[in-house]
Amino acid sequence: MTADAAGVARAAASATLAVPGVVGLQPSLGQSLAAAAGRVGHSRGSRPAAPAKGVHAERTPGSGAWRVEVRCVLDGEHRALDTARRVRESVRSAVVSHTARHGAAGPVTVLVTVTRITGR
Amino acid sequence: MNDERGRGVPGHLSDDLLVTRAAEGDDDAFAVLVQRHSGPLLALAYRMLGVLQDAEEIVQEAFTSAWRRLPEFRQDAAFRTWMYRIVTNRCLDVLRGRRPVVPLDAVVEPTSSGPRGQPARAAESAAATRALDEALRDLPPAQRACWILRELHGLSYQEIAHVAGMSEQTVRGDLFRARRTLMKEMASWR
Amino acid sequence: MAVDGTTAVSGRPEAAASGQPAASAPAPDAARLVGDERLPCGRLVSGVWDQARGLLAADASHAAGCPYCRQAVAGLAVLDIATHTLRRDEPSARTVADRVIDAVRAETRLGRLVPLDDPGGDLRISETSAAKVLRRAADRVPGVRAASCRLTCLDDGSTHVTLAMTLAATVDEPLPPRAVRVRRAVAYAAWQELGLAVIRIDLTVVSVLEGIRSPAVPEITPGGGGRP
Repeated sequence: MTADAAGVARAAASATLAVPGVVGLQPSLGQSLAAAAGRVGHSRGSRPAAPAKGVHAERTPGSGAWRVEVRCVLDGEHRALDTARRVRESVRSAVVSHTARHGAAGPVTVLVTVTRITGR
Repeated sequence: MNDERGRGVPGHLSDDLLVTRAAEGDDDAFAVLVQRHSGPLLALAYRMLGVLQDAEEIVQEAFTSAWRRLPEFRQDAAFRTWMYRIVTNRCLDVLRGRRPVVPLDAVVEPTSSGPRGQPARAAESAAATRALDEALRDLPPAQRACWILRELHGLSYQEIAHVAGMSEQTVRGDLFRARRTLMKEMASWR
Repeated sequence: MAVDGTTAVSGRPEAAASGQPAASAPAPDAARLVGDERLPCGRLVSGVWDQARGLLAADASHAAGCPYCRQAVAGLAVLDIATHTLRRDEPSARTVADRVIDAVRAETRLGRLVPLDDPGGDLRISETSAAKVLRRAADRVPGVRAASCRLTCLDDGSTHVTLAMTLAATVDEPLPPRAVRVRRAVAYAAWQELGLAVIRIDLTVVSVLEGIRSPAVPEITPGGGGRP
């Protein structure tokens, strides 16, 4: 079994949600619309689009490096910068171990976007 | 003036401030505007159309289109008037498209007890109110809009003219004709 | 004076032929005749309505005996009562409001993305969500409410951002000390709550705020440690 983008994205999603202060992932508008229309199916194979909402993972062909982007919603109880840093570390280590387990290890870049801070 | 706080937005902020915030994507500010204006707008659409479901659809659509158009909204008119204008015109479009057919549920909808399920008032007064509601539905759409905006929502002639896209003179004339007709209908309820 | 022919206010033929008003009738007012009608007895219908409602002093010697006036107000009292009832008979808008708010929240407008102050530059926040936090900080200063809040990142590869905010303020206090407090509250929130490297804050008071007392939530002061 090899590490595919969908598996990496799933690992990144749970790593994000495990960080205190993260209340959710923000689906892209396309994902929201697809969900609203009931079209959640995705093709098999090596499509880069990740099924986990709010997370996008892709592997650079050739270098084998992973680039993971997460969009998250925070609770406003913690400083956004601190939470974003924790998310980055949590996702990085989850992706590193996931790809190593599946024989697809490579450098990992994590991009964190805070899309919303919920009211206190 | 108390400080009711909904998700971090002070509830007593003026519409203008809320509109500025909402235009920059602040959905909490927009939520306050929705809470503030949805009641009167729904009442307007319901009185115009007589069918609650249609009224709800129009109000919902009016707000979501307002949310999308807010970044271009020039604050030369008040938000309230802008929303009244959108809803009134949508209702007039619907009425002009469906006249003279009166939908069945418009006839059976018991106005006096209302969708909120108020306790029954004195039968006489309830019947008179129902009669008024029915007489209202027989008015031509423009007259109906003028009367509802003036008598139920307290808009000035000038505001009604802006909202309904008519001259102030036409508003005065339509309003007078509407009152005449309604009084004639109500005369038997003395 | 006949009713203005262009307004066609009534189907009653006698209205158009009413001729000169009676001596005791109120003076004709051209503006009122638009959307009005003069009765054969010389009274304006709207005036008779206003008298019946007690808004105008009643012309007791006339109205009681005049059949035109009596007919003109037939149904008025019942109409007014029914109108009053109808005005209060509003359907609940809760469902609609909830549905609109859900739809709007699902349609998140992120705006620009601005960098959080991390040397890697790979942590960002949407301008929309940062602006909410910063407006809230300004709102906590008594007599002030935030309006617009824009963040701009510099194109120099740093994580530095500048902030432009407009405000509404009450006029019961001089503006400069208040601007100092807003600046301090906003800078504090930008750094402590968000982690933005704000290098400049431009404040502009754009409107007068009326009828606002001190907020219920205490103002955060730098160095106070912890949140309210």
